[in-house]
Amino acid sequence: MRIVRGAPGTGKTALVFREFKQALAGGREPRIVVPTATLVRHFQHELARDGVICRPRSVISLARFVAELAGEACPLAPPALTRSLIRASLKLLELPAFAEAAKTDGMASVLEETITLFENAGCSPEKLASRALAPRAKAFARVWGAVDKDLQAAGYRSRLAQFRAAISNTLAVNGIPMDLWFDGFIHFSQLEVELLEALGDAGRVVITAGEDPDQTLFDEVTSGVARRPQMTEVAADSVEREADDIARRILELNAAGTPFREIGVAVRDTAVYEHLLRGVFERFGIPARFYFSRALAGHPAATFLGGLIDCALKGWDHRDALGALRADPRMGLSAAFDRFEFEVRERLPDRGVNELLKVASLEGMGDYKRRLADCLAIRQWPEESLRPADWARRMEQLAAKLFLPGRLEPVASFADLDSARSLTAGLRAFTEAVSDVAGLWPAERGLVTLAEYWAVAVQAVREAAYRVPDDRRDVVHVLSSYEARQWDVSALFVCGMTNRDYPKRSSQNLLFPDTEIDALRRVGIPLRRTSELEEDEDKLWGELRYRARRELIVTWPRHDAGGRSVEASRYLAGRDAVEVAQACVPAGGEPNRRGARGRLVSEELLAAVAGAHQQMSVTAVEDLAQCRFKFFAGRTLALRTPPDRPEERLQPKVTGLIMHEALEEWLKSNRRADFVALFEEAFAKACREKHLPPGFRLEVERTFLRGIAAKVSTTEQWQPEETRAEVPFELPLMPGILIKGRMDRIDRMNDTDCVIVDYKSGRTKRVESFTQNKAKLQGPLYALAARETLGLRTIAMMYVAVREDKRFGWGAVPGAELELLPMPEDWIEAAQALAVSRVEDLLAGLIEARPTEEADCRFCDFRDACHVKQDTVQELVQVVGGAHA
Amino acid sequence: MREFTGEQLSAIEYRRLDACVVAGPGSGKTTVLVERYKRLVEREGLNPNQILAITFTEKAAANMKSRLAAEFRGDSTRLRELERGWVSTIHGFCNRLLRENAIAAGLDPRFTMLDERQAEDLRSGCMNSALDTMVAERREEALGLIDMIQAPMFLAGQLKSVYDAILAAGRTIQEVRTVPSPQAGGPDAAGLADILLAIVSQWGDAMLGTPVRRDQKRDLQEWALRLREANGAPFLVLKQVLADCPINLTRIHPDVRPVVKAFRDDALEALESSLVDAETSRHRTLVFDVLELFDELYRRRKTEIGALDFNDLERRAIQMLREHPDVRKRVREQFRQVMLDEYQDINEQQADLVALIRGADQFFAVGDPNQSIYGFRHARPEIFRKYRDEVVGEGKHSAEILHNFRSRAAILATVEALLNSATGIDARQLLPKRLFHDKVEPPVEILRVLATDKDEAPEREARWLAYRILAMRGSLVLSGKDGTRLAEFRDMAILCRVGDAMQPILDALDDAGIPYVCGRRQSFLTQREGLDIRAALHTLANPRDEVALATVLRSQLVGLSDEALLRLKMQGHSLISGLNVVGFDRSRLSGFAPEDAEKLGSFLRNLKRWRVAQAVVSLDVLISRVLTESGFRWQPGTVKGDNVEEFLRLARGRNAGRSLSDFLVELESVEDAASKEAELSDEDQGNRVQVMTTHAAKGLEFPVTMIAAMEREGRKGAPSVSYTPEFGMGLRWTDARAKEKDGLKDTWAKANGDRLKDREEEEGNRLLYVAMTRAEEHLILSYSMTGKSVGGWAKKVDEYFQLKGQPPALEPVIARTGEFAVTARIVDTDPPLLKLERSVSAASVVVMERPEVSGQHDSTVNVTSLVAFGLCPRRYYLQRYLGWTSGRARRFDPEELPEAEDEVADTSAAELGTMVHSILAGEPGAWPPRAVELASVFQASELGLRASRAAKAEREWDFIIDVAGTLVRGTVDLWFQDDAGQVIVDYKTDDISADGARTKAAEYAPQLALYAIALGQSRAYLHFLRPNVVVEVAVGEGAQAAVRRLVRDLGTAQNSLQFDLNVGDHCRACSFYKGMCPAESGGDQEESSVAAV
Ligand code: SF4
Repeated sequence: MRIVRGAPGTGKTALVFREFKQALAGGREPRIVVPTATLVRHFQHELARDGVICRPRSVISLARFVAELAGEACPLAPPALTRSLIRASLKLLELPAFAEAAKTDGMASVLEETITLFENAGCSPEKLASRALAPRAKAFARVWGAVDKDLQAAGYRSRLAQFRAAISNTLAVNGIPMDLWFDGFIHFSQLEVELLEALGDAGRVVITAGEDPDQTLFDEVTSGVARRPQMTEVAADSVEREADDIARRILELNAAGTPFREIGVAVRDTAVYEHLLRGVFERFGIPARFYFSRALAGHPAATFLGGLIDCALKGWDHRDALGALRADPRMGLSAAFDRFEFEVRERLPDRGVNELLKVASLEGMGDYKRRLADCLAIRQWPEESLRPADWARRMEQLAAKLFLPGRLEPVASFADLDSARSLTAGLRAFTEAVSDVAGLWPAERGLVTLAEYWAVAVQAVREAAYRVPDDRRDVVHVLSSYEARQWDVSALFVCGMTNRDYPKRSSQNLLFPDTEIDALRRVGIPLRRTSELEEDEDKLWGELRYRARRELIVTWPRHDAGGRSVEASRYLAGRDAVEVAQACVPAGGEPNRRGARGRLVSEELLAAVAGAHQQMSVTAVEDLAQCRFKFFAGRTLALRTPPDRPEERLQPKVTGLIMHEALEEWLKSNRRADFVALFEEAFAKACREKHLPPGFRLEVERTFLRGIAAKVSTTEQWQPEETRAEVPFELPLMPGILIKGRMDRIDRMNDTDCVIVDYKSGRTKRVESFTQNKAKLQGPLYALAARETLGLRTIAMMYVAVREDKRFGWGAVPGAELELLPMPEDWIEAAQALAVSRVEDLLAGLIEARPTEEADCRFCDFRDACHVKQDTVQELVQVVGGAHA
Repeated sequence: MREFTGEQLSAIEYRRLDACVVAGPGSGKTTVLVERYKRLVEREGLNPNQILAITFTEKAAANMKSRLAAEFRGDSTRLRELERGWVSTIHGFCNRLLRENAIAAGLDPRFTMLDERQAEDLRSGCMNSALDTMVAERREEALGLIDMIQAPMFLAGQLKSVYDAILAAGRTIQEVRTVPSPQAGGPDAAGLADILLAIVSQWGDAMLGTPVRRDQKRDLQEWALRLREANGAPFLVLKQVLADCPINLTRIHPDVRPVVKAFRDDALEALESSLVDAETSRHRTLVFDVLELFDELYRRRKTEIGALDFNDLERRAIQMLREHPDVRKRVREQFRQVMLDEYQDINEQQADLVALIRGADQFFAVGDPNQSIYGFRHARPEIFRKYRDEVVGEGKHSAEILHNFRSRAAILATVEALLNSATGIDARQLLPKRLFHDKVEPPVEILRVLATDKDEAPEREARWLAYRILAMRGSLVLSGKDGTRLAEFRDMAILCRVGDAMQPILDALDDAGIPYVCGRRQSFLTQREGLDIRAALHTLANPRDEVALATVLRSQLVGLSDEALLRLKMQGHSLISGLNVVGFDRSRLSGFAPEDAEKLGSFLRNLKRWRVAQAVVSLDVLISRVLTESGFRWQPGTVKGDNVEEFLRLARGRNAGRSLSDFLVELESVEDAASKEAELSDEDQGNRVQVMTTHAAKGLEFPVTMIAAMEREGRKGAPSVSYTPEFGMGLRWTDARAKEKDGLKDTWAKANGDRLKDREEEEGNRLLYVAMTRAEEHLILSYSMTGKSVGGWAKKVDEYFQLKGQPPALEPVIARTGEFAVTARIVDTDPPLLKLERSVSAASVVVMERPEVSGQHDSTVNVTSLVAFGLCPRRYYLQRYLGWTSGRARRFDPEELPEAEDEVADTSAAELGTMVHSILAGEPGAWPPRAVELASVFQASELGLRASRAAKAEREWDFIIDVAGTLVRGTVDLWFQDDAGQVIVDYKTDDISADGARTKAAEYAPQLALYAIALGQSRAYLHFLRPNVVVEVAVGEGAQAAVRRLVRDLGTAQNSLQFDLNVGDHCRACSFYKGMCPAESGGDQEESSVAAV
């Protein structure tokens, strides 16, 4: 065994390549072993581009190399299976040492990590169990032992077993010449060292190592001249400015002749930088490949297929069903589904398959009913029991059958390509996840139910990740700093160089803190201590520091993504020359010019408007009086708002309807009926029809309204000759325009006079404001209608604010103590004139958003659409990153 | 080395016992803490790991860390140690402690933290379920409660607050349930009657000089008898008797009035409360039951999702330390020094925690009771006072550092003048220590704005503030580091006691063009950009939300004209149906004005793409894409840019597994939460005025500080469900006949009411103290009023400077009191119009051209893919480029090419083929007879025999070569070399006839040509095993050139994303036929829509 030792950037890999080629030329079968799959591809490409014709498998990851040596009889368990086994053991063993934590997902992952820790130290469960252990360690040994046994029963091997098999096979084939180079490793675990030693005996093995390896395994070998890229340090005020500045520098490098593929970005905190850089690169038009997995949770395959299974098990709650069906790649984005969704939302919180099918049978759903039936076909599954492998197959078949899009045209951009490929990549990950766990049940277990199978599979889906293939040639490589450390590019960016991520702090193992690790080391289990993990961090930076051939750009934000101050990494300490990130924007992209507003001129459209509004309700006239655009949006375009959520349905609109219904009945009974009883009836009806969800809020509202109802009937102050309720009228406002309405109540006091009453269930303050509101024309228009259609003079018109039983309005009723406003002389005429002029405006095409009562805009459904809140006018430039304005 | 005052030095160096330091505002407290930390490390050899330093805010922790890092700069060992040090907030500390001891704490070791808003959402959900469960399961009782409790619609919210308060006090619901009434054991009605009779019986003639007084005595006696009789009667009866109480103090002799008054105000009210207790006890029980159920639900939910809220951090840490003496011991031994800043703002629970972790005589607390302003977060300044008393009592170290290094003397004098005698404030001298340049005008200014209209008053005040800002900017001289400088926007801050007083101020700043940044960070949601982005997201979620659709169409993202909107509607019967129709039949666009048609066309195209993307692309990337592709550009540092970036930030934080519709629901709660207190980030805010609440200003300082809307009062009075640690939970009830707005209080509510009232008054004073002491050089105290007098903080100003009744004047007056003077500006008109020119340019922002992009073809290609592409580019695209395969796809293998496998109709045939290849590759195994039979067809063939005799033969030989810049990978079934030269063989197990084999051979030709490129000069054969036909394939120069061309064509197709159809007979065998491929319409496509046109 030879060890090539040298500081980072001293050309160890170049030497490996050179020797590899020589071996190839010598007719031998050399192989290079590297730590990650990404590196495998990278090295393969480097060699091929160098004109070396060799078998791709000459470059191989350590994991695959070990698997190959171990042979097919020793397949490694899929991680999802291992994790489910850990969880199952935790549950079964009920270990008091883990107490409550045993029930948590996090505990399973701690155990998984700890198993790896021990496997790396070459320790088996049996070996561990044979030592004297603290209770928690003992509990761990039990779980580990159980998991190991279960794995074997399922026909898999642990990583440790696989390594052992590989080592013994290596020793068995001892004597076969094998040229092996191990490159790119920062550290070898004990297990790996054992393998290396076995290999060293078997063939020619060369290992590259950093400057100061701590492992006695290494002998001294010199290496070439160190590469020293120029290092630039950039501080930005925020992560956004940092990302922008990286984009800017990449563009500048590219313009100066560096191809994108010669640029890399090393990322540590993927949670922050992955999406941020993706968005920024897309915006600046920089093609980039991101070497990161994405969570399968939330992927349409998981949402749709997993969602359907969930629904089948839980009785098809409609809210959940909508969530799942929306992710249907075939019709989830169709107009039919859009309609279906709103229809179902109106009916929430319903549940059940039949109701869904009923909605899908409504008019306008097109083909959706058939598709829905296909999706709901799994509803029988919960009643069946199958062998786990059969469940796995079923789910795969379900995926293959249902998860297919309709017609697909080629995508328009590489961003869209990524989305399109995400669908298939996620689908694949889903089918893998749901089938991987089939091994959890021992063969003798026989049949399991869907619920049992899914409970495990869903966890696997939740934890699974997928990668979207992207093999484009000329792209910037964005990869984890761990992988970037062997990448060879002209320019490398290391972003987020803060003291939080460089070095990343590793915390002690929860089950085996360093003190216990020390104890175990003394008895021959060489576990790694936390401090050693931290040394890896220093080495990692050492490697990154010299990855670029020409330029290393290290960037860091002064504030993290949450706006908190952060410090630069201590690796940068002592350096003074810090550049400041430069604010930048991508060129081009003038925003769309705003289309003409507030005015219709086309004859055709004017005619359409005139045709549509020959009849208007009084509230429509009020809308028009309040704001022409409000009328246009609400009445001409008749824009519909989405259905309210169940908990939001009990709104003033609905309570108003309830009160009005009760009032109508009560007035019809000539105020003799029991108003509270009428109210109760109307309320119950609304609950049914509007699908109001039962519960505390409903009862509070019911109690509150009942209290109002109890007041309404008690405070009558005058005795009319006749009371009429819900009196319809039609009023020609001007030639061709008819106003239609219905007065809540009109009391005829004698042959000539009447009192008009309108009931309002809104807040009293707001009702009071109606008398001052220039756009509220209801009162005078009713009075006009009374005059024109009934020949009665209105002596008083009032709004009754039923909540507090208060009256606001105009005029006076003889004998009644009311504090109404005096009726203005031209009250009716002024209102009529305003209405006429607004209608004339409308017919002339004026639809501008300008409210008569600005304060009422907050009650308007169209306040976002009308753009009364205009585009931000202030464009004041902040001092960015230290540059002074 | 910097110099310290004696006071500071004593705080820095004191080591022996526990210490308590009172540090006034601007006294250099952080510097002291940092220096003390440094000396503990450098002089006493403590490892940072042994020092626990706790600050109140994350900002303060970050500040302290960065100052320490600066102190140790250049010492990499120390820096390394510091990274593992314990400088954080109390929550940060608990978080780390719990993570490191998760098992002992019984927690999910990977627990996540709910932020305040997420916790609030979860809490609301649980509280609603608890209340709903109550209604469902105990309907009668629940309806009774709804009838009785005051303001039942707010019950959910109030119970949540009370729950928080209970936990912050370190109590459980169970404990609070059993807290006895604060007036338990008081006299009943009969007892009170006796007391009254006893009082009255002592009134002799001297007391009863007038008939009125005599009548009063008689009335009282009669009433007392009634009261005695009513003892034990139903609540309503007794309540009526109490309501009829005839006490009239004016009719009683002044000498005995106090006794009667006390009887009325204390004893009678107490009786009433205890009657209320009795009457409502079952409702009270129900409220506790709800709280308990809520507690259980909320805990369960958090456990299910493995999350903790902020309160849990403390609670669980305490619980763990109590239950695990070993951990407690370890922690105590670890920390040789515990330093705690802002100790006055600690609550009981936190105090318990500190007590558990601090060892004997290792505690160093710093605080200032005068700056305790977090009562609403359950802070209890008493804890600090108690500790100080203890320290003093035990002869430990207690010190005060009162020198002020921040403010001008006159400002400090004003603080003392206004507040030193106020309740809740420890009177103390603030000693000015900082040097300023000389200045003639007083550094304190009062702005007293008069108006007649209630709405107008705050707006006018705001305009005056804007006016003053513009006037001071560029003319007010400030002391700089070296000499003087002129004030800029960044030097000024406006502080408001209540957040809702800010709106008029922001409006006025907007109008004047003054750049500002406001603590309410979420406001971007309601600004134009926020509204448009939100509407766009709603449209992506479901375009049937027509209001959102119209908003987008009219917005800067599309810019459609109003005419186009109407036209669109007229295409169908609604806006959305119109859009669908046009999406389906683009020819309809011709009916629109050309500009509208273009905009609409591109919107339709994009909408479909965005909707497809939204399921798989992270939300922030999606939003950024929508904006960019709509031609919308935002520039960092502009208001618009900030709004967009805020939105993106929010979206970025909410990626994992959340659907768009979830996010949209969440936005609503984000918007609701926006009205709550928010800390300004310490990012460089640029040259802008900062507007924030006084609470948010804690710990900050500004050269120019304006305290606005001083007439506004803070929150007042106890809510209908209240809690204090002293008395427990109090409830208020309604009584239809009780006129009092407050309703009926139970005994707990009554006690709480009094307690809270005192506390609010004290805290109000301290809040003003904090606000005023933020100012360095110039302080403006500003308020508006309509009447003659004014409330809130303004009252103090008015009274102290005797401004009441002073006439308005155009020019400010100098008000002098004692040793110092202030400028008073009393105005009743609007200020002169001043407006800032758009002065700031965008010059510092670089515009980057988008690059020309090429080379987007794949770097590698599989031979089989190449063949597939040669056959039909579209099929290649669907199957290999996108990865749609029917049946089980191969696992993704990062070491292999990211491509899907061949589409095979019959999987058993595919398996057979694989097996035959394995046999021929020499793999051992028990193979089925059919496979062995097919393999032997080759083995027995001439080529097979030649191969077996060849000097060199390779089977399943994989390779990777560079062809025209693309790396091509493939696997040769067999090649061998014998005397006749090099031969390449590819076996095929296709189920075809002999004739078919010859046609098929043409399809496979490129594959063999590639093998020849890889292997050099060769002859190549395809052996179709089933019909046993061998076809020689030409692989010479011509064939190789053709395949090179094919590689280039594939590259071109990938670069341009163009994959043509090659319609032919083979289509029928293609699984995409009548499905994803449009070769022939299958007729069962879904209905067209904007999404799936
Ligand atoms: S918000 Fe106001 S301006 Fe806008 S449409 Fe409604 S009424 Fe008109």
